[in-house]
Amino acid sequence: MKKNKIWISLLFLGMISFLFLPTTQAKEFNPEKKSSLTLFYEIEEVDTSDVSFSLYQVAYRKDSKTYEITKDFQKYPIVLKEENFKDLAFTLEGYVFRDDIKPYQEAKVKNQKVTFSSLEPGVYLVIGTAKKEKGMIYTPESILVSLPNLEEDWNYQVEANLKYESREETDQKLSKTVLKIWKDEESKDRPNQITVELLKDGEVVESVELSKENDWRYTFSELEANARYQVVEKEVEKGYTVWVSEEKNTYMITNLQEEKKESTGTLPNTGTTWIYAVLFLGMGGIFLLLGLLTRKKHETKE
Amino acid sequence: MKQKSNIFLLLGLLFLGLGLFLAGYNLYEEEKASLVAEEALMDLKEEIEDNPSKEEYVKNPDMEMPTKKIRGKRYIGWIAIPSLGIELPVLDEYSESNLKLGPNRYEGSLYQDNMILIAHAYRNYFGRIGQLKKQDQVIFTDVDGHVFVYEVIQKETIRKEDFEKMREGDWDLTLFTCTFDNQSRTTIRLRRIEMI
Repeated sequence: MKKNKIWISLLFLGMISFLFLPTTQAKEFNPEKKSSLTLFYEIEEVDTSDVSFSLYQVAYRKDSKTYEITKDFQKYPIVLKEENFKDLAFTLEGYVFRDDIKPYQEAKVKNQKVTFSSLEPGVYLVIGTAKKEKGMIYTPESILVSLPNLEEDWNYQVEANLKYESREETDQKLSKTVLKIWKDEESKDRPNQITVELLKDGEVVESVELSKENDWRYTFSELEANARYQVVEKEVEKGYTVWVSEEKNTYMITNLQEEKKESTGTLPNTGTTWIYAVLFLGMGGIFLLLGLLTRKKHETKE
Repeated sequence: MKQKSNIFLLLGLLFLGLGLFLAGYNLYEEEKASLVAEEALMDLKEEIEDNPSKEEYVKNPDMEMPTKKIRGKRYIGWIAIPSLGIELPVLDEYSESNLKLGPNRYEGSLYQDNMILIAHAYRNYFGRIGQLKKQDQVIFTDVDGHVFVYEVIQKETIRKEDFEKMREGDWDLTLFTCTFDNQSRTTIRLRRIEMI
């Protein structure tokens, strides 16, 4: 019986220490150690070997928790959050194309993969070129990746499968709609209008103002279907950050106000002055009654 | 003594006069407000599409609510409260001057199911929303022509200082207006129901 108890407590201790093990290990982040990034780019029955990928360093990783944005990307009002990496990658792709930012490294796909090595800790953006084959166009989805990557432990040899978008080559035109999304609780700091630039194969081809006048939405039409498009918000209002997401042919440009102000005060007054009307009428009645009563008293006295 | 009674009578007449004047003023204001709203509603209804095709809000509930401009003012749609016989155009933004033209969007969005509407306590605005009963319906039509149907869940009275209480809870739509003494806000909470 006693033996049994000891066994159980030993087992329990074992389980507890097992629970603690991975967390203590995960904390050991080595800022000196370089990482590598291997990307797999496979398209069925398509030779991807002349597709090239560019790598941009967006941030340095200073410790296990914080990033510092690199010089090239400091001027863009973004906040790096892992849960938002997909939209941020598309957002930054727009800036890279518009401002012609030079890549940190470039490499061509070989045997359906591409590897970047000797990378210092940080956040990297990967953008690939489109590939045309047999009447189809394949465009790789840009990604943001954190190196080293925190999985069960810090992983310094990161691997990722790249997704791509495929569409048929066509002479038909297409439309793309841009929607503005404000996350600022109807702040007074919200600008009256913003400017959106449409980029076609890296060049600004159209520029449009969004405001209440057009319900913060606009549709670019008659666009050549075979080109590659992004949208960029030209100037972002101070105190706001931006990200752009894309779904089918709709772009959503979200502006988030970083510091939310505390709201105080009272609920607005929507009342009428009926209560005073009633009050005055009542008082009038009382005074008239008093007057009449005192007069009557006076008369009976006389 | 006679002098005293005269003063009382005079004061009585004065207050009666004031009271009548205020009552008349209120009636005038209410009449004017409902006329202005009626006219704007007519224009607005003409501009709203019959067959809404843009289902953008379903995919992007975070989008800004579209508006139509009528005589320089922006409207997000119109509200109907059949049990009170009320139909009113709803202005996009809350302001003192907008309150004289119809209900205003206080905050939130129809598409995010968190909109709060504010209106004056005029008889033909929100003055009678306190009479609404559970399951009474409220219908909102946006300027793209989408129709949203709501039912009354509960009634609350919120002190005017309880700024945050207005936002508390998960309500698809909220309507509020002043109580008779102007010290509190009569608040109606609603839930979106299936289309009829």
